[in-house]
Amino acid sequence: MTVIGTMNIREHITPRQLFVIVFVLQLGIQMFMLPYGKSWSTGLENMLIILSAALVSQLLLVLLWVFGARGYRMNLYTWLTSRLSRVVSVTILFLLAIYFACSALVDTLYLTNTVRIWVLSTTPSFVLLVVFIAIGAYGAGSSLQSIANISQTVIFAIAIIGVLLIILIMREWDLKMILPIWHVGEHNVISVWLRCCSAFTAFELLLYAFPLLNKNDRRKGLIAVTWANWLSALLYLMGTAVSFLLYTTEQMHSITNPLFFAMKKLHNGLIQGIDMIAICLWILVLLIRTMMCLFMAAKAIDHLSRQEQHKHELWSWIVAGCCLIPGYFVTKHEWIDQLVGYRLNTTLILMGLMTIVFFAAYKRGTAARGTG
Amino acid sequence: MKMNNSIEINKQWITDELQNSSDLTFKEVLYNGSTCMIVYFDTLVDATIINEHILRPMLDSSGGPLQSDISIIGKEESDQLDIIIHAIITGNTVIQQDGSANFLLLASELHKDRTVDVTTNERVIRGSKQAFVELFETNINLIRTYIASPKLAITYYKMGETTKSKVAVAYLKGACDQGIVDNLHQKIIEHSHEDIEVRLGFLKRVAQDDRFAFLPLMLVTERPDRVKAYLAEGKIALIVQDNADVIILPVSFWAFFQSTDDYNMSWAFGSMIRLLRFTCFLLTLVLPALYISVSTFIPYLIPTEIALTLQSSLQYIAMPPIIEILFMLLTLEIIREASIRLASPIGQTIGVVGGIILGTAVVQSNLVSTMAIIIASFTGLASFVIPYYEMNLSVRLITYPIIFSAQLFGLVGIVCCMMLFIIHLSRMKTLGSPYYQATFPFIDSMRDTLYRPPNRNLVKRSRKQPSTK
Amino acid sequence: MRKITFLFLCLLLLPGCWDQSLIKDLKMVDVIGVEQLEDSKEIKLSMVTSNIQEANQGGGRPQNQYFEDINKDIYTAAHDIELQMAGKINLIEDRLFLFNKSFAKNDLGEQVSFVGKIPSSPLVAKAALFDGDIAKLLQMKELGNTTVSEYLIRLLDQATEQSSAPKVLLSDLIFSKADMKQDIVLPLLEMNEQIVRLKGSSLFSAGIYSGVDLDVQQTELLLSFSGQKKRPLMYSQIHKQSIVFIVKKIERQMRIQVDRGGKLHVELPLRMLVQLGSNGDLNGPVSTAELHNFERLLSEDYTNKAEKIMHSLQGANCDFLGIGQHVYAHHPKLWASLNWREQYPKIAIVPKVKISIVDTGTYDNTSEL
Repeated sequence: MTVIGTMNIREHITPRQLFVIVFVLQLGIQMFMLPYGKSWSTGLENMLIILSAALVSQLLLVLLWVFGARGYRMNLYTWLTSRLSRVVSVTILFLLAIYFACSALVDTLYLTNTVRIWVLSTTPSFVLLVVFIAIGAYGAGSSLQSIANISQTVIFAIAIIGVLLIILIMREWDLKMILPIWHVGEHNVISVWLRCCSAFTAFELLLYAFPLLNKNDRRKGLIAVTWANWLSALLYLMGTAVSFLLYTTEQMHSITNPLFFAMKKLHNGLIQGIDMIAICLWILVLLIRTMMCLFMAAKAIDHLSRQEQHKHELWSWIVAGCCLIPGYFVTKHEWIDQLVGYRLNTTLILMGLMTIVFFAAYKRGTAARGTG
Repeated sequence: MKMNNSIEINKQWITDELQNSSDLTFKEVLYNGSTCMIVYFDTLVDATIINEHILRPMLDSSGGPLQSDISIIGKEESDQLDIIIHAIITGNTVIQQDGSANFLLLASELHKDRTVDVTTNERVIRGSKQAFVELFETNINLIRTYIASPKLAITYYKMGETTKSKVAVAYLKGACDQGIVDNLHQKIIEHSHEDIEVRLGFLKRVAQDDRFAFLPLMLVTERPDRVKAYLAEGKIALIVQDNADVIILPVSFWAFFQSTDDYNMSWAFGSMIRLLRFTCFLLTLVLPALYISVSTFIPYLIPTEIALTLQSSLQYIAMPPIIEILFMLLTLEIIREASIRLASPIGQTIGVVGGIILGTAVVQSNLVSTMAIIIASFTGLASFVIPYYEMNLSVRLITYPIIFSAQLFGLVGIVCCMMLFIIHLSRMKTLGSPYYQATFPFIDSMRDTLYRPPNRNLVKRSRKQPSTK
Repeated sequence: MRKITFLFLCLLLLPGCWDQSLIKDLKMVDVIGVEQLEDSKEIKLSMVTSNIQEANQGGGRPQNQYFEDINKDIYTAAHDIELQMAGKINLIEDRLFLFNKSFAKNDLGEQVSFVGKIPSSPLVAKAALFDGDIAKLLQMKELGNTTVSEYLIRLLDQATEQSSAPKVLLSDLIFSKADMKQDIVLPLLEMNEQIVRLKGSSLFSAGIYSGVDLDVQQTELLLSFSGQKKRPLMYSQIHKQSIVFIVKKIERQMRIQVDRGGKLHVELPLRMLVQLGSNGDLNGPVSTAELHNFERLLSEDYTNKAEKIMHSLQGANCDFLGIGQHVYAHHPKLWASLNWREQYPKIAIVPKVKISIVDTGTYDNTSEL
């Protein structure tokens, strides 16, 4: 514990900032992919799946909170470096950095692809990728509080999309479109469910951010995170509802992004391309994701040496540059889809691993406390 | 360098040091039997003070020491050449008694006072109309009279290696975070030896933590009542010699949308006007870029009727929309700049020439479309709604990158640019505290930023400073 | 480092401006007509572009331009038309798609679906059938005082506003093919001695025109069943008296019963609260007894009409009311065992219209007359 005592805590965040970041991060590219994995299940079932996934994510959040609130006044990376042997910690940090860099790249590739399909059809995707990654890197160079601030600004975009979704739901509400329930039958619910679970993954950040809460803010932190979790679940629910109210399961299989097709229905005398505006607003939300992944990757590299170097701004640019090189060679739509699939699976595996590690750490911690 | 005992040698030194200036005056007076040398710039001193309070007491002297004979409060003694030279150039009269190396420095500067005037740049409809003047002491006097509180702390600094301008830092002890005051102190000391003329723009370097900042980091005001309000809120005021403006530090982004008028009106009107200002800020930033993205990219956004009108207005225009818009914005900037520098009677004609004649001619000659003129003039008008000139300038500057990115990527470009803008805003820090605080989803942080709350809520407003850690 | 990155970014952007297409170079296609030529396999694509002349001086004159091409499919025909145009073809502002009947009998959704694949597609454009020569209609360029495109679009807008015609967007048409549980109905226009008018609607089955049409009155009743909560003006002929009434409110339900043999029995109760507009020859005050009589007669009359409509629907195999969706929603097991396309014409659909006269006063909505 002596190491912890001398730790220099430079950053700390408020529960409100935590809420904002978690909320924005949980609304990632999955919003583009609604309904999950082109499933054969119906609207209500999909909604239930989302709810259960949100519940799982809530459990994970509580677990993380228990870990974070136990008095460790350091983030995941310092915890790793201080607890594990040098070789192991460096390996883990390096792997984490690669994981985050890859997530940043894959998510941004997906975003690029979507933008190319919907808005800018002839712009080379690499140029868009460069632009998005550069913005992400610029944002990633700032402190966690600044990123929270940026995310909070972006919430207005989410609010607008939320209002659009509510309008659509109110206009098209028809119970028979989202029924029946419990009729999934032979179709693969599990894969859909896993996809849903991976939608609620802001946990990577929480590992870093939870210990940065002030000691008396801990309880509020849990409440904030819970709010964020269920609000994002609500948004996913609304998105799914809109998709299914407007299109049947069969139609959904030929529609790439049902949500944005649905937005087209909102055209009016003033603005015709509401869908275009929705996509552009969603770019803002997704850029936060890129930003955060780059931030985490840069911080991980920053912690590689024994002491934190506080050079993460430089590292975030370097990581972004490294991301661009493989990004140049990914040109096909299917590759991106595959990559997204890999990324979601890795996330799930990581989620599982983390749960085990923390459970073990918690056990050991209670044991240590009991004896000491 | 220590002064000599001899009057003659000292006279030579002073003359050399002050470049043999013609307005440098040496007088020798016989005082109680010994010769005294009186040195001053006759262009800087008040002749009555010298006559009444220096010469007459010396001539009427009954033998007491020189120090007690002269009835001036501002009295100092020194035998260092640089101090004496500085005293002379700031309007002091220095006296040396023959045989002693000690000089008596007497404050005798001529106060070319301007009366406290009506505000010219930050006009309000209701409330106080007094404005600061160029005189350092008068400004501090104004602040002291506005805030008659024992907690008001005012500290003087001298800045600039050659100019040694006076800068005063004023804050309310208790209301203001001591950390920020110390931070500012540090920064002023750091920068005080730089050999730069102390202007407001230079002081910007004191306020900013990052290398570039596209937005104003300090609020410049000419209104004592505003200074009072900000001091009470826990901000620091910087009063600079020879400036009719006072700087408020550290300010947040939202302060640039507040005006004294908001608080003199009912909260509903105040809120409406504040929202209007913010909308205008966004419009100024985005409107030209939106025009470009709609008219240069496939017009997804607009319905057929508007698209047809737009197309028709652009039909015979040779220039692409971006050139049109840049041309019109350039015209607007020229008119704006010209009307500021010109004498006010001619300034009015500029509006007529620029607005009416140029506008009509440009459209009739098919150089620029009517739509571009509408957009440019709307943008111009909207930019005037922002109550601070500095913010106005920044916004005008930031519009251009957004225009270019709209030309490249259309709507996506605008969104990306806005994202960069938000990141830039969030990264900016002034005196260790964040410059921009997002407000939107939380009502309590929207209070007095996006809207002006009712008075009872305003009183309860938190005076907490953002943490500096 | 930062400077180098910045310079690198600038370099990347230098070749720039990929997606640009200046609005002044665009030809805004306003109406697209697709016809299947009777005697050959080729199709005739006609396009009307709109522009406004001399609007830069204020005011302006809307104009239509007409293009056509005969080719083997829409895509190549559109490509050929582009070669005739003095400008870039642009579909995003397209507001109306017209098809002729023989073209609609093909796989309509499939043929136009390419439009949905490009981002600048006019998926929110309206779709309608036209009974007659579309090329001849569009060639007129002006109808009355306005341009053809403006005229047609206003006509359809007004018709959907009054719920005399269903509102169908191109996207509905494209997606309808994949929809097994609900079909669409397209508005049908016709031209009669230089006057274009709404003729009724055409029933589609799985995205293909079934050849069955409904007239305007039937369409209005059908739309009442489908839940369009507008106020159509309706009239009825009872004992040679024509009765006009305005529908104030429609309450509709769908009850599906499954008997032991798995047979479906669909009941469609529809309650209309109406305002009596004109009671034919019986001018003057109406007694309560007479009112009740009217109500009974009207209900009977409309139930008959509704039965006829349902018959047509089943005959055309067009499940416009979404009965399939309803079955799927509430009886999923049954649905799984059914072949809906085969079953639908056979099920018993029993509409029951009940009309209550709530008001006999003066019109409160004379503008709709």
